Amino acid sequence: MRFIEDTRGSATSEGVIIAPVLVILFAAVLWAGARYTTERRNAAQVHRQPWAPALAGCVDGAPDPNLTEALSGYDSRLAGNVPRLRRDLDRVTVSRFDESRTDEVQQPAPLGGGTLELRERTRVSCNTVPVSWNEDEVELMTLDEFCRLSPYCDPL
Amino acid sequence: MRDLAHEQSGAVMVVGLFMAVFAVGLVYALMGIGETVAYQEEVQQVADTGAFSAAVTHARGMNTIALVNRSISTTSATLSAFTIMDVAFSPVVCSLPHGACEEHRAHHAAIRADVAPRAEALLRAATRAAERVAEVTPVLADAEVGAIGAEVHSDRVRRAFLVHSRMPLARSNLAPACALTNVNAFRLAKEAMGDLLYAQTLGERAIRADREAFQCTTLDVAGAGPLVPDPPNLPVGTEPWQLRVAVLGNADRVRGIGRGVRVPRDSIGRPATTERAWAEATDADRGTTLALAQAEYYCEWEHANLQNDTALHIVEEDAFSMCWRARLRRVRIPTGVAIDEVTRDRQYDAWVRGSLLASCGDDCLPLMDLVSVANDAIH
Repeated sequence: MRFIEDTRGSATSEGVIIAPVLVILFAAVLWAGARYTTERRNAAQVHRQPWAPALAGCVDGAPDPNLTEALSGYDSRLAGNVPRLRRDLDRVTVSRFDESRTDEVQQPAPLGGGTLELRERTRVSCNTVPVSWNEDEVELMTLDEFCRLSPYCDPL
Repeated sequence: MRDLAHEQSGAVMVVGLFMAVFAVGLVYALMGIGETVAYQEEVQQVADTGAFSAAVTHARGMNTIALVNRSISTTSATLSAFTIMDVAFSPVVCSLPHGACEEHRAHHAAIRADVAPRAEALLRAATRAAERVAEVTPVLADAEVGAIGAEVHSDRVRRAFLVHSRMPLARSNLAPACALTNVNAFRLAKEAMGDLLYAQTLGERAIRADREAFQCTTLDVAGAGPLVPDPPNLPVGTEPWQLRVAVLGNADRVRGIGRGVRVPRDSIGRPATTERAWAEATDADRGTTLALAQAEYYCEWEHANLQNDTALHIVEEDAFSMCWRARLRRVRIPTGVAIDEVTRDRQYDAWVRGSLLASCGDDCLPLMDLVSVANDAIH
């Protein structure tokens, strides 16, 4: 009974009870900060990575099958009519820059421990690379087509 | 009561509990801020990459159309050369002796009768191909935007789409294609006639990129012609070349621990005329947010966007050049025109109803408050 009525040390014992709660909460703040820092850093790296190559045009793509299909066979006519133009069609390429990255953060024991995977992914189409026309080449293309269509290339 | 007032036991516990509750709230707020920032960045990233990728798709489409236009120009040079030879062998111009003019004229007419139908068929096939590319390019771009949203960021994106806009192209007559190849048409006529005959009939002519040249004014093939900007003098950065992507974000996860981002009505660009108020998504669907991004496709060729023909270039020539590229732009609706606020609000409203809602459908109806607030935020 004296023990209950004795108030000496009560502040200490209350502090002892509440301190772990505050420590856990403080740790939770640190963990949450670390988690979002990692997530943001991960995302920033993934999102920043594709832009430089994409803006410059990645130039390693394949001919665009969708646009070729939209030509409804005209691309093969180009091959027959003006081979030089068909070659340039192959330069209308499709390429994309895909980037993904996974970082891990250690989970606190009260949340089950282990690691938490933070995955980021992005995709950007690569810009086109301009194809310049050489006037001599245009003259040759025109002559090719003229000679293919007409017998005039044998001088009169 | 006096005892309670003087009693000190449990005081630390009470303070500690208050601190614990405060700290829990702090952690909760920290996570809310983190989630919201991550969510906002992610959704805007989808909008940015989607808009840029859509513009790249359009640039590829324009390059393909440029190639087909060049093929139209190449084929039309053959028909132009025939017209030049028609003139060269005509009684008015030709003065060769001993009936040579008639002989050449008859020979040329027989060849022309054989070649012209085949050349015209090629021109029509090329025109159909270019029109098909112009038709499917916006569809391909929309599919690319949807794929970026669905495949790459499916957890935070409900829907990503390209705001409908057609490519600002129209089929022209053959005059621009002919004008571009004037020089070559005369060379072909020279090749066909031989230097001597050419000199005897036509002589040396000053040749320029001229749609008014006689071989161009008479060149007309029904259903054939290059696709050119409509109107032809659309400068870089004007509205028809702009593409906008809207992303409907899935804010459910954010809503669980945060309020998301609220946009102030009096944010940017215009003076505050009302008391500060915050945009709230409607109660019907607070889990959806909207992000917008804008990009354009443009020709970076130094002679692109001519306002008029010159001696060496024609106004539509950028549609014959594989010079098309893409770049991001700041979101602005409409672009490139200085207008007063009332007109701007009216145009913005017309864009929302005519383009955004037309592309989005009912999915966007709960977002109308945010969309109207965005008018202030993006102008």
